[in-house]
Amino acid sequence: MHWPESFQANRWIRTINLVLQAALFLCLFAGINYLAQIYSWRIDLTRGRLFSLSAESRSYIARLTEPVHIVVTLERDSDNEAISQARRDVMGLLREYTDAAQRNPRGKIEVEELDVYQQRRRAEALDIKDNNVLLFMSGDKRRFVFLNELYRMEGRERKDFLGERTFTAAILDVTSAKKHKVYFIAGHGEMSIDSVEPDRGLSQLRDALHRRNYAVDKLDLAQTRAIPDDADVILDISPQGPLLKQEQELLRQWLSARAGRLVLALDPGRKHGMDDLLYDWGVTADDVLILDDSPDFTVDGGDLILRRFLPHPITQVLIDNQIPIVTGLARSVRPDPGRPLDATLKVAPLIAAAPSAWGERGYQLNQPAKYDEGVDLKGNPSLPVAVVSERVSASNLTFSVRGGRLAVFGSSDFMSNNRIGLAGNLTLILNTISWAIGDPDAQLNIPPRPLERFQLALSQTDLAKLRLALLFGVPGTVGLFGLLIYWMRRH
Amino acid sequence: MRHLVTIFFHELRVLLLAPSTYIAAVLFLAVMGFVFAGILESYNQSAQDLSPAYVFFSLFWLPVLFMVPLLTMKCLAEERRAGTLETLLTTPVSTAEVVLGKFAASYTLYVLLWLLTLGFMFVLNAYARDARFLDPGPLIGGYLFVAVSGLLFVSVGVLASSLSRSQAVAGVLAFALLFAIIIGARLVSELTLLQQEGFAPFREALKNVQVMSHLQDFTRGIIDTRQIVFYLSGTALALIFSILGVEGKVLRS
Repeated sequence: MHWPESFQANRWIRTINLVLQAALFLCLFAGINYLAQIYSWRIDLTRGRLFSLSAESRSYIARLTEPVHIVVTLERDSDNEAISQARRDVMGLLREYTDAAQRNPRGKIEVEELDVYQQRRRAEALDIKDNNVLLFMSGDKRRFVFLNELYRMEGRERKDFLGERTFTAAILDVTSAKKHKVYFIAGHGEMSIDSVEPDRGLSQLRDALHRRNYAVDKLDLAQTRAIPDDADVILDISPQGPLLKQEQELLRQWLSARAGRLVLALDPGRKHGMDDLLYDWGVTADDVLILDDSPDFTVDGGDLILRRFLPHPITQVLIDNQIPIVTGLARSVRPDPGRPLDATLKVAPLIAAAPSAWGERGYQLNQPAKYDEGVDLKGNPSLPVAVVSERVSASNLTFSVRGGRLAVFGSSDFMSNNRIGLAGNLTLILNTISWAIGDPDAQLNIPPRPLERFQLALSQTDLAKLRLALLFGVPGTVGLFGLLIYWMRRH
Repeated sequence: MRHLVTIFFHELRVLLLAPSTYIAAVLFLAVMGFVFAGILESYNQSAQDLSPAYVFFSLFWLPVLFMVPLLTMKCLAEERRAGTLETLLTTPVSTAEVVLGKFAASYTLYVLLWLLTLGFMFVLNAYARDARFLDPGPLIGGYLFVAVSGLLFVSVGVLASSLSRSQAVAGVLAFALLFAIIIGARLVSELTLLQQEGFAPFREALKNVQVMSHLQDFTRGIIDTRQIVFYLSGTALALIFSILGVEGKVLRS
């Protein structure tokens, strides 16, 4: 028999045939799954489509023109329940984003997981110092998202997941051609963004703003004689001498005619030269020094602890998390009781000192500090140390018109390099800048996702009965059924 | 394929009438009941963010890694060891019908065992006095995940059984393959070698086959067609390999 016709050859041919079939089916498997990746759908069966992206997020993602890279440094197997929950929520949400971006060839969203300690080199290249942050990048723009931005708290409990609103805002931020520009006024001895001095330096605030994709620069109005067109918000932090009349006028015009945004931090005992501007905006900065002899509201070095916040987008996260502000010398800043009635001007105190505090008028005199009725200032019930003022549209308009915004703090110490890391200081100034500009997060109409908590309230007896039912009830029933089958077979 | 139904009912009848099936079922339910009782005790101590059903199904790998090899190791390996497979294939029954019939019977028993765990949910409902504990979303999603992924896991067990005459070897091989599918993909994706730029498509492919993230989607009520296609095509591939494997073994013998 010729070899090709022999049984051995036949076996070889059939074996090769089987192997080729296996290889072909493997290729078919790969091809089908590859097509499934391209033509895929995600269907949310929950009531209210709880885990799907909103139509707003989807439309923004569909219009992306640049890819976005998201680095997640949430620890994978953390013992901390809060971080584990955040990781589950974040990764589940990011899957929706990557899926939604698949149909946009120019605007792909990629997610990278990174352990900062195990992948040090990569973390250093991205300038990520710690775990448990997210970094959104597109081109040369970057924005960090921190854990405390992802949840709305009530007391110490997480109530809502704000991930979609935060992530969509971050994506818009890093893909937007425009960077928000923050100017710090200089020329009157203000705190400087270039200085690393502990008491008068703002270098750490500058770095924090860069990490949040803000452009930061100095502004000397005496030289420029004009407010730059690209200014989104101007800060004047701790001027040691008064502004010139023309400088004040520039700021007044900018606030009123160009809906400008201004943040002032006015230390006690310093002339600031902005009385007219403050009067226009219904604010008065008293020439007093806030003193408090209560140990609950001062630290050992004499710094003030401020815990009284009025509900406002700037302070809400501080209220929810019960985080105070720690600052040095402060003056009272409050709505001007003598301001003219103006329906378009909304003035509200933001932060107040303790009820035990008072505003000492004679702080420059060498005398013991005590409250003098009729002379010193006392709050009702407490003295404000920060105020926000904004122009709102007249009530008969059916659309909103952007108006100017002013935030005035009676102390600048909480922003200095040696205090900005304390308590809620950084959060306060960042939220103020964000509010002044017009927080893009707040403009997104994306509802938060409520978080559910599950708890049983069983007595020990009920718990024991539950345990017995689970261990013996269900298995026992199946066992009895099996015995019945066995008995029926035997008979 | 008319003999498929005959083989399926025959295999199912043998399984349902065998005392060993009920012993295995009782032990499976006792173990899962013990696990579920432990989960519920933590809910009694403090409030939790995840529903009990979600936590219960996140431990799906426990019964899969142990029950599936036990259910499937005998189906083809025993036939080959006893020499009855070749005899069976001389009858007008194709290899595909034999493999599919045995797969269908094992899969039916696998699903029945999981459906029996619904009893735990009824017990919980009787004690919880809170309708949210029996949130239909995670329950339906969880059982759907078990049903869909079970197709792949049982077919892998059948494949392992088709490759050996020894039940023990088939069982261990099934365990190893299931371990690789459930946990291996995630471990491989964390390898330092794969973090390089050139391996990006491979990393992306590994990300899409991570069974634990599929579970998270299902138990949240999200149905992703990519995952359904992965499990169905994987099942078909494993069964085709089983058929080819049996045919190859018969050819050699």
